[in-house]
Amino acid sequence: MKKQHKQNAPQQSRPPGSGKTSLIVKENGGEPTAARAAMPVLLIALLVGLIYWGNMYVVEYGGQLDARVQGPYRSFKDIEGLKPKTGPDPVEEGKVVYNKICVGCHQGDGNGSASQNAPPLVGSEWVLAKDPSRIARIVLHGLSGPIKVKDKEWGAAQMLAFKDVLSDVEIAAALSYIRNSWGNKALIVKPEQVKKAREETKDHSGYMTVEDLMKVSE
Amino acid sequence: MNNGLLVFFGIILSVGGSFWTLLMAPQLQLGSAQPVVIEATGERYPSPRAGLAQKGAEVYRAQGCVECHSQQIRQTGVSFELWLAESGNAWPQLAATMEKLKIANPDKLIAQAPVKLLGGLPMLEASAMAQQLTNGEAKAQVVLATLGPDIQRGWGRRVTVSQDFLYDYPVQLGTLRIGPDLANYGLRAAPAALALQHLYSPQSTMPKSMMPPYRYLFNKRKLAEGEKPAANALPASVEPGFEITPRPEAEALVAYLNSLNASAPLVEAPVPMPPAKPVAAAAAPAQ
Repeated sequence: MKKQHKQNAPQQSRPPGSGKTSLIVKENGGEPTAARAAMPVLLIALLVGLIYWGNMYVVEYGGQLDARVQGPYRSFKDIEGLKPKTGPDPVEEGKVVYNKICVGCHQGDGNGSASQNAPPLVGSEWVLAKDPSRIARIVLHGLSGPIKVKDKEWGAAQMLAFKDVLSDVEIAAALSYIRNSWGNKALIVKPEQVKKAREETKDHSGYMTVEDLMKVSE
Repeated sequence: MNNGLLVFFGIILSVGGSFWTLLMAPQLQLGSAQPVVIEATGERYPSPRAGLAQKGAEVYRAQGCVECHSQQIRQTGVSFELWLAESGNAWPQLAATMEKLKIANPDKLIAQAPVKLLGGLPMLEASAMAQQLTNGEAKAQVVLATLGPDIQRGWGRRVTVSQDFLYDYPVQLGTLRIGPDLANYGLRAAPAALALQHLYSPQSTMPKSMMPPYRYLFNKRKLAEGEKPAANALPASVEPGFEITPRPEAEALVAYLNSLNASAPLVEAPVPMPPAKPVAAAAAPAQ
């Protein structure tokens, strides 16, 4: 076979200049043999198109080849995104503010401190009031006693103003925290409520007194 | 042959290419899959079938159940629902917020908590609403909802994934649904006696069923006058005057069907988890 092949080889070479012919019929009536021919451009285009489509299909539905990605999901990020995102918890954020600012006088357990003239927050009717506009005013402008908390008179109660120290969001968070800690349970305070109190009292100077506070309806 | 080398490498490339992408790649990806621990329950999933159920899988295979029943749930997507988990005590405020969010009948819904408020929401909108509704007292929650015709039919709660079939050999996914999908039959299983009766005489339990009867999985014996049928026999109404008792194959098949349950909450296939009614609250109206 090999010998024959070699013998035929010169005759197989295509005539120069002919690009299309794939069969060369030998003049002496021998068998036709195959030779190289260019692929039709359309077929090449079709193949390129198919390969492109196949790749794009894998990119789209292959789940980035992550074994954890199946079914209707397209990527693992997709699946992670299904976990409900809860926004910042005002009670948790308030804890940070409280432990930075308020804890010094009102103590970590919210029971206040008689020696520092700080009434308790636990079970306090002021703290647990339905409408937080009075305690918002206390935090914004501070307080000068006397004030009655839980049936006890606090004559020398004294608190500083925090309107220039804390933002509405921070005050709302701190109030939400004291209203929902140590067994306290009341509605959380929204920043808008603090903002409203701040605007209503922007002309107020000095500390709040109980008389000032009682003017605000609950 | 001309171009023998080219043809040889061409064959190697095409066979090798498909071998690699269709066999090796999936094997590398999923071949080492192991049971996983479900976060919510702490249980391993899946667990091997019990002996009788494992035998039932062989019966299922031998009887060709797979010709008419599939075991795969399709899921087209997900959406999000807004649920009120706890209504607390500050109802007027909550009702006012709900009215602002354009939720109909707030008072009625609050009384029914935990209750679904809205469905078909995008994630961001649902979370924003949940945050507005959650005040110190009430608790709102975003709950995932799986979508798709199979899930709507009640055939499953989530898409089936490769993990569900870890202990199945062969995996009997099925390609036709002449009967209902059975991927979660164990979740909605009828009592075993009814399932056995369905195998013996499908139309006696499901009048429009197209299932052929599998009477050869049962023993049939004529009862003497006044004789009582055995305890495990099918109800007398199926064929009066005869005692029809299931053979071990039928018992195994029912055990296998009851073991079908592809609803564990997997990382790759989350399951909707609406808030559950607290036990104390559920018991309260009864008092």
